[in-house]
Amino acid sequence: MTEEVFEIKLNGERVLCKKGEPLAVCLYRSGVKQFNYSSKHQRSRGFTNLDWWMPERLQSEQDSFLNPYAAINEKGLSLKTPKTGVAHRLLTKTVSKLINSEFPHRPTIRKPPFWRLTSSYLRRDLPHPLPSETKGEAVEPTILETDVLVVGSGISGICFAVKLKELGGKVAVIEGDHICGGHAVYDESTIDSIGKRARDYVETVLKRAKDERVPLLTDVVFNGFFDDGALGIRLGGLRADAPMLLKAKFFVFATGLRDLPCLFENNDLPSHMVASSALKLANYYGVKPGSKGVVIGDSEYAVRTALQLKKIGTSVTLVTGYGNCREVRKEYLAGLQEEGVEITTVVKKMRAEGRGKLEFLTVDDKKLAADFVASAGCWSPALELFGQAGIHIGYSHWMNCLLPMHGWYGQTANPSVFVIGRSSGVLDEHISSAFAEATAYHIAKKLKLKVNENQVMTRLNDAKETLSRRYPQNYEAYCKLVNCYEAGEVLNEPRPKPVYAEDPRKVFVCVCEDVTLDDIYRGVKVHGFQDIELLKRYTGIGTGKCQGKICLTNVVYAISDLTGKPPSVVGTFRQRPMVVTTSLESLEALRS
Amino acid sequence: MRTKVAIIGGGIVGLSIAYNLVKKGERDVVIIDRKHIGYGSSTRSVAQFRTHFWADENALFAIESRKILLKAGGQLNFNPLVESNGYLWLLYDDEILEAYHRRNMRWSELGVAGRLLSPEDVRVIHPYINTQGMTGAFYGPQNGRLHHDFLMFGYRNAILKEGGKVLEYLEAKKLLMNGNRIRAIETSSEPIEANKVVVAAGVWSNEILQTVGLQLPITPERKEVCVTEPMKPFIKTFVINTKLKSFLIAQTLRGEGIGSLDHPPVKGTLQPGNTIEFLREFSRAAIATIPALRKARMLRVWSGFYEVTPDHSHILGRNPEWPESLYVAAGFSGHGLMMAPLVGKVMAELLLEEKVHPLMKPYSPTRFEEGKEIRETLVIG
Repeated sequence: MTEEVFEIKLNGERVLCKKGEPLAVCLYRSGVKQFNYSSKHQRSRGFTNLDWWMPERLQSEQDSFLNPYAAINEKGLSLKTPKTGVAHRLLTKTVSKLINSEFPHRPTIRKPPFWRLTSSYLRRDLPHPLPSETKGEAVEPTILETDVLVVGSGISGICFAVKLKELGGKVAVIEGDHICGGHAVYDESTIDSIGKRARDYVETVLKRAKDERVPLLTDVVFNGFFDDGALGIRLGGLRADAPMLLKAKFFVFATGLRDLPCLFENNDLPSHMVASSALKLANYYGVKPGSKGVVIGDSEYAVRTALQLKKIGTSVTLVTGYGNCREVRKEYLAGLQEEGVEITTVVKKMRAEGRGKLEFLTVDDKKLAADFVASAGCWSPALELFGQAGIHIGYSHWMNCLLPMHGWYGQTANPSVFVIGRSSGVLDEHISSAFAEATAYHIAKKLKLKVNENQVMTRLNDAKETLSRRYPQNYEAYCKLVNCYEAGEVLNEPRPKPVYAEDPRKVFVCVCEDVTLDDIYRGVKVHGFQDIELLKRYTGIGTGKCQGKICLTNVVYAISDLTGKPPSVVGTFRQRPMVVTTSLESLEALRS
Repeated sequence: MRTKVAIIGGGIVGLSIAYNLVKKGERDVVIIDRKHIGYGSSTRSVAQFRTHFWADENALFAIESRKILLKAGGQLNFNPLVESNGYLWLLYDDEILEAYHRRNMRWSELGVAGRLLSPEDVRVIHPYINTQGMTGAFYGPQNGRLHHDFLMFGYRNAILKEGGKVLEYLEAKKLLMNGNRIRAIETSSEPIEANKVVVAAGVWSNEILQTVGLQLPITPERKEVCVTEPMKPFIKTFVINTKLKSFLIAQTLRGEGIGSLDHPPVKGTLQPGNTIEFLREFSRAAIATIPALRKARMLRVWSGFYEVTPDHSHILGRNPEWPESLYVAAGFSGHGLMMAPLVGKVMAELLLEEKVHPLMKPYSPTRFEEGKEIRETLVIG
């Protein structure tokens, strides 16, 4: 059977699409690497991540705020990228050197008469879409009622749900992506602890879920805790989103770890993407992210990414040393060299170069030709969910990650919320699913299902034993986290000095609001805003379309670096609902 | 620690008072806040300012306050991003329209004449507004919006530069008496001895006043606020729908639609949070008022508190029966940000020179017992 291919239009130009693919994937396949434009800095922007929460927007005739990943292409679609008007562009070009968080506060600009002029100019044509009045089809709100709601359909989430179902519990899984199975679906590498390919393993797990008839809803995002309930949203893509009231006794967050962009000079150039998006493109959609790639990171995950990108026929260089948190294990290094992956270590600085697209990455003084960069050196769990649930956030040095504080069963400060899977701090997929099953027993007991205490303990002890035997360092880091939780404390480990760049003005921390590392420095050093909440208000970090999902961790690290406080003492800023932006027409449809 | 003036509450009001004190040369000033500055209400505002109040006292106060605000960008080292985009009250009743017409004559005398618009006028000037059922509108061009955080930062930086102190994450626990005067503030760290103590703790003012047996008639009212994803600027002013639970919306300089709605009513509680009910009611009112908002995307919601007094007007100064050296600036009923520039000025005069500014007189804490309440009926949200 041949795949159906058709045409859509972007800014009047033809783009070929495969049926059923997200718009962002079609565009990238056709060589469209610039998705948006930075209005403040007049720079081309690609996407950093292909997820339901990506901050880029496209305009169609029906909807001005299309999320290019949530929307699946359709024949005859005509799209535009939101643009800045000429006047705005001229002004910002002229004063581009002055543009940073301090711009409106400059002595000449803040003077009332001049400010009146500037503000009216700025207001005139921002690069945002104008909402259209087109009325879509009626939106049908739904209610999802269950004992336990699992957020995230990765291996741990599914294993948990299957186990709880087996024990007689009522459970449902929601997944924000179009695809079930989490990162393992586009991971061709082998899970060490069982010697199985991640992709095969997740298929087995998903089959079990199907056999057990576990309700599994894709394109549904957990959108926030409210006083009068929890809200979910079924993302409509080209159609209207549909609200979903989520009613459950327990919420289990199995949201995994998100890759975040590394910080280096010109890291906003199109084709700098997070590793998971490069793998998603390569392994799931069959789109080569480029022909010369650089992967940044030290973890097994970075190694796995490099190997897989090598396998699809790109030349790959792995840059280690960015996170400075642990060394790449020797056996991995040997494997990489065998496959022909070059390895280089960064000591001081990194800088990307290129006109409108990525051409080189200079690591210290070594210039590497690259047409894409995959960041695997920084990650974070879904902090916004934990923040809303009132869960404290710690920092684990070995994991190089902010993590929710939780107990052995994933229990947290919020009695109805549990954390399992990678976001709880166990990296190996198979072992983290063993912990998840222990959580299932624990919750089954709380639901008064038939389980005996022995079963609960045995599951947990088995999982602990396997982790300590296979990955003693991970076990040690995990124990530290849980012990702190049980003592009512927050894991406060320090973070080593990170690698940045020479010119912080070109290092983009927040791509939604165009905030650079220099803006953060200015806030902390010049104005003395050591409190992340005040820094947020000074720079605008975390107030853009991704609501801090991309920038929060990097900001915490930057403040930690500047002030010498451990990341968990710096703390995270409050991340309020919505988790994903939702159209008013779909919220209007909610019933009383 | 010893200081001349200690201010409890690092919101816009406390900061403005301290700023005016240091500007007048009194640098021995300490502000304490149990969280970061502006945590309670000032960072949660919709950040609008107006001069059109029904009561003369409030209108006069707001007009003076606006004058100071308009100059702030030139005086502080932060730009409060003041824009005079006006307020547009959408009216749905002939009687109310008439009342605005009469009131506008008084406003004209005060120098802030607004304009009554017919539904046709609204359609021409603001084509995005649904004028169905509307009998008219009132436009007040002197009103506008500002950036609440930047105004706060401007005050903060000026205070610090002049040697004043802003102590964050320090909680005032108790007022300590010595005879008939406040001697010191017991805090979560060492006590702060002060010649004068100003309570500017917003909704939480009574918590500290109760430690010396005092209570102000302040009721907290939770208000939910939301912003949308940025849009091309098309909402030209601050739109208030007087029919739909005071639905209001403005567009920020970054293009986000920022708005609120007086629903659901949550009184007397101090739990911040949001409701699904608000999302639904806000969306309904938004689409009914400005149909193009149908596709706008809700980005973020939060809540803050109005510190509401029986006459919807603030309480400034002191009651002679109170312990000596105790002052109050609270009960702003949703107008704290817009009144703060003048509040700081008049309170500084009171604290340093024992001078009661004529505009401040009506706001005495004694007015409720004396039956001299201010008749404010133009309340938004």
